Amino acid sequence: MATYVLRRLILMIPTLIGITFLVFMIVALSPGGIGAALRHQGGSAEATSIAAQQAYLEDRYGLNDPAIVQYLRWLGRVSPVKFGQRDQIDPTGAVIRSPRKLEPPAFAGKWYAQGAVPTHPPPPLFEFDPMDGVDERASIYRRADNQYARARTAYIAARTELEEAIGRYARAQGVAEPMNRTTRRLQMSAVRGLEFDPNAEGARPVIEAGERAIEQYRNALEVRAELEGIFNAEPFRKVGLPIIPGIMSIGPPDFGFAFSTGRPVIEIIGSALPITLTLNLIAFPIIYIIAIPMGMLAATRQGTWIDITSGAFFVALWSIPVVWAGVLAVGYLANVNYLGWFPAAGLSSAEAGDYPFLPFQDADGVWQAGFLMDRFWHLVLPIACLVYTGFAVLSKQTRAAMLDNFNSDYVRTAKAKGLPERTIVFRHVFRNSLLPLITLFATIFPAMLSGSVIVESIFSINGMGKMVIDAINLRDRELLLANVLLIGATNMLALLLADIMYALADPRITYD
Amino acid sequence: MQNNFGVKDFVLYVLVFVALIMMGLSMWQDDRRFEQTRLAAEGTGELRTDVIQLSEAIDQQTRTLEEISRRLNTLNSSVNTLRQSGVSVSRAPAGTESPAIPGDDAGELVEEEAGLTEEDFVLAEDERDESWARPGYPVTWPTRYFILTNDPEDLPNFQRGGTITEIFEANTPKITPHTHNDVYNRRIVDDVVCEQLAGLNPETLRLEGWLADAWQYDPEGMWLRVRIDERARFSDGRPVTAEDVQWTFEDFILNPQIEAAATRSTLAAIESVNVIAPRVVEFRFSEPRFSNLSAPLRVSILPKHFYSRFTPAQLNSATGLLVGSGPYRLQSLDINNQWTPGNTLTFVRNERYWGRRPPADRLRFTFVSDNVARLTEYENGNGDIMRASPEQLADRARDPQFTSRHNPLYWTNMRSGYGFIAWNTGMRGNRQSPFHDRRVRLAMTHLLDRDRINRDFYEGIAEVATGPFPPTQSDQSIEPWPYDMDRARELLAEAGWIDRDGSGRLRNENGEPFVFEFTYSSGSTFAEQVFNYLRDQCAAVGIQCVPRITDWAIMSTITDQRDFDALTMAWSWSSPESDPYQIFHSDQIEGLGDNWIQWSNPKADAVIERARQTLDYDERLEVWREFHQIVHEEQPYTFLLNIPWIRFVNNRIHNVHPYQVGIDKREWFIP
Repeated sequence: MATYVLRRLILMIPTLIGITFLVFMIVALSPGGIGAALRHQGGSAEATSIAAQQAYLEDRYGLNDPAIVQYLRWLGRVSPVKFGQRDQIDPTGAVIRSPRKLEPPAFAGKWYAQGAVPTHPPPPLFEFDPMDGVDERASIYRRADNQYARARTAYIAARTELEEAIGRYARAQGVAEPMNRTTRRLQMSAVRGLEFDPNAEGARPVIEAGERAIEQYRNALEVRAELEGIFNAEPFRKVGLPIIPGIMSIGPPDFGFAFSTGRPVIEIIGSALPITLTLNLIAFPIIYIIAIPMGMLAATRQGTWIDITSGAFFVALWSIPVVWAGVLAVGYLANVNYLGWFPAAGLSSAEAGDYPFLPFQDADGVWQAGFLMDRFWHLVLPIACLVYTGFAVLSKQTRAAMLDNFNSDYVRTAKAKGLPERTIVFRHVFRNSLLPLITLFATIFPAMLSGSVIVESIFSINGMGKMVIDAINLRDRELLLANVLLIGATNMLALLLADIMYALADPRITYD
Repeated sequence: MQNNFGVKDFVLYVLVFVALIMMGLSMWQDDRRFEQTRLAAEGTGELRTDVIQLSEAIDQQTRTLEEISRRLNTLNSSVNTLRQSGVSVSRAPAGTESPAIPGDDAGELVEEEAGLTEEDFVLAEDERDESWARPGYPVTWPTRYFILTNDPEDLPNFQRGGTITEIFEANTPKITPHTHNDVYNRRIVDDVVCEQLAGLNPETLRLEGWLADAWQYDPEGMWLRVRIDERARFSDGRPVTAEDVQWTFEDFILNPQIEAAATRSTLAAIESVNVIAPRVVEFRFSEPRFSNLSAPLRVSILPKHFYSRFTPAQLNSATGLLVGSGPYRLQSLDINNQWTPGNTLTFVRNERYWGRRPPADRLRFTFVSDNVARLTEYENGNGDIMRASPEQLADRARDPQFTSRHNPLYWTNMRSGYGFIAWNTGMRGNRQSPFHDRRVRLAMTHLLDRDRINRDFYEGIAEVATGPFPPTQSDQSIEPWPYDMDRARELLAEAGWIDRDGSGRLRNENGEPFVFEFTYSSGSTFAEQVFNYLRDQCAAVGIQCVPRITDWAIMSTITDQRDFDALTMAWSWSSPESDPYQIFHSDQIEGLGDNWIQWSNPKADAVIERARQTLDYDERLEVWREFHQIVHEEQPYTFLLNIPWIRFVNNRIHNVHPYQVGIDKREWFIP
């Protein structure tokens, strides 16, 4: 058994890598790409500044690298096993990495700056004053970091200008599409074979822009080396545990920041997950408590009016679309012009922050709901919408499984033994009917984490479902991947759990 | 078998479970209450130390003293005037000044004088000190933003107090200034908590001094010197200084480590920001642009002493770090327990506000994304103002029960926008689209009965658009092209599109049929209705119109690649002046600009360039109107409708006026 579980757990790793890789590639290859969705948020800005903004995003998130490199970089961050130099963590909790290497501008050393393309200088040896406390070290590092950010931005601006100049030159030379219209960068595959004629039209601006870009490049490299030197002097605590010093270490996974909001992914999921869990932890027991006894009742009274009406009623409920029911519930049950019994949106009233926990009497002696009741009051309609479609499947499953067992030999034996009907139903038949319910649970459990998009949108609840949909619409890669990882892992764990529970419930099943 | 699990056991377990949950919840609640008590005790959280409180108290005292001495001076001068002329010309309104004679109790004075009045923002000619300015250049002494168009305090039933709640239709992910660029973030930050150097007059849309009381703008457009009102204070009582302005620009917005790329891109022309004197700051620009005056003046100024204690990474991921000098402040602010998206946002009046006190005690913003639920929440009385859809407006405006309690408003203002059909006038791949011919584009416009589009698809509340400009910038004398099928046929025939084989389909001289693709985004009902109507109209004259429905995120790829024949979209205006450069100048075709219709018109280019170099507002307006005329003649877009703002406002709120800037909540009060 233990080997089996261990094998299953190890097999999860390649499966998860496969899932995230697929999702990553779908996002990377989808039309528009990540940059486009980000750009849309900005609304209308001047085209030149859009280019600058785009360059900034690309530089920050490395969106210009090949998709596979981007994926590996993401995997490296998320994986608990890390390679290479260990990251550091500053007092505010932010992870600090060694600055990435810069790439020289296109055609440097060939079209311009012949033989004078600067290379990355070795980082100077930097040592902190042993008297320096954490704050001094942090401020020295931050100053260098800021300087590098500014130098890099200046370089990227110069590089963008250079690439536009090259684009114009290439167009004059008859290249139809020298620029990639999505990434707004030079299409290297289109211009690689281009011969450069310093006397041709449009060549002069290329050389001039090139010289400027090289100048900025050199400056950026110098500032970067300085920063790297400071980083190597370890201003902050290192992250994780070393396994092979300098080569391999174990550290916490870093899910990064959501593109669309700049907030840490963990924080976003951390605020949505409890809400979805609350909803589902209330909704699922309700479904089980109603559906299973009704299924049992229907099975024991097979063919009577109870069986028929409960079946018909549950199937009727099951076939009402949630969108419609939700809107009707809001329109009639929540609108004061009609019934107005329940609140229409959100999870608590606007004033709930000032309420005490339990119901209380206000200054006029009127009873007020209090925080807890107010929260429950807000939960009634969303939970009703989550619950009503679930009865049919579960009660029918229970009914079918019970009927199956009613016709088996051991029930006949038990009846012949003279056991009371109650004992037969509860102790024998129901226990043996649990197997299909376990299977069902394994598929339902992951759904508890993924949330319901429809219910959450109708009732303005910021749960997981809404978050994932927003992430997909904005092509928010980091958020999406973290979600896929979370839900994928829960799914597999739930399946594993179901398999183990099978073995426990049915002694005939073994995995050895 | 003794392990019988009976009903009794089940009930027992359930009870234990519920008890555990209740215990957990009450512990959580206790934490919450403890937190509230702590915050209440500490004012704005851990950020305020005793020392700061002390210095604030001193500041407050100084201010009171300044106030008293200033009042005394005023009194003296009016007494003098009285002596000279025998007529009282007291400048402060009655009731606030008369008892303020020397020897009067200062404490009582403070209570009455919490907040300045309109009169305090009128500066007489001889009070104007120009020693801070560059000599030889004219100084602008603008009217002040505090002089309201419809002053509520003049109304008989005026009263302070109450809470105004606005229901937003989407969640803003952050309220930290400048780090996120959406309309809700900007509305909260710019209008409620932070102040800019200058604001826009709601009606005339001219710049008015807000934090700034005077500025000096280089006639060449290369520098701008601004003086800050000496009374201006942040909500923690510290004065607003030139250093704060410099820091906001150089170390916050223009700092590449801060994720303020969207705001940064509008300020690209700023070369440096220099402190000239404690209250005088000078911007230098790298090139003269017409927006050089308004762009820096309209940026929210942040307190350096607060924001500079955070690292860029902290600022980038902060959701609720918001402190400013504006009329309201966050009820509680704690870096470790910030506001997070999805929760109600409550702002309380900044009692230290240096300007005019707004009437309402609190402003509240809630978020309801679903259309039906939002209207329900609003009608249930949980909101005072909300944005409605045209259908909701049409439905509710007919309902007397609704209109007796609520005020349905709709109007076109500088923040609304226009819907249009864009014609690709250049090459799509290797194929020239039929719309490169002006006559064809004009014919398409004539084919559409835009009044009917307004009536049938927009409930008749929009206006037919004639050009790309907001009402303040456009040439109002231009009449929209009329709906005229015959004229359309004529124009098409002139352009060579004739029914050559009697099949009813238009063909050009090469015998190619007139077929085009119409692209629209799948989410928009309006676009779909426009498409259906256009297709019918086209079919009536023998043109085939094929739909192409795409996801909104893919729209930008399509436009970037110029891969369409015609598409429909909407642009929004965001300021009193829209710059057509990025959409209509031919420079923006070749690169990756927004002139994706590839419209090139040398005359239009020249006019745009001329306007961008014209620094005088009124002169520039004339040039914009010239451009409007050209666009109208050329029809690179078929302008459909100017889409109005629709707002429902509860009748309990008084003094609500729709303006060109949108609405001015500073005027609202609850009697």
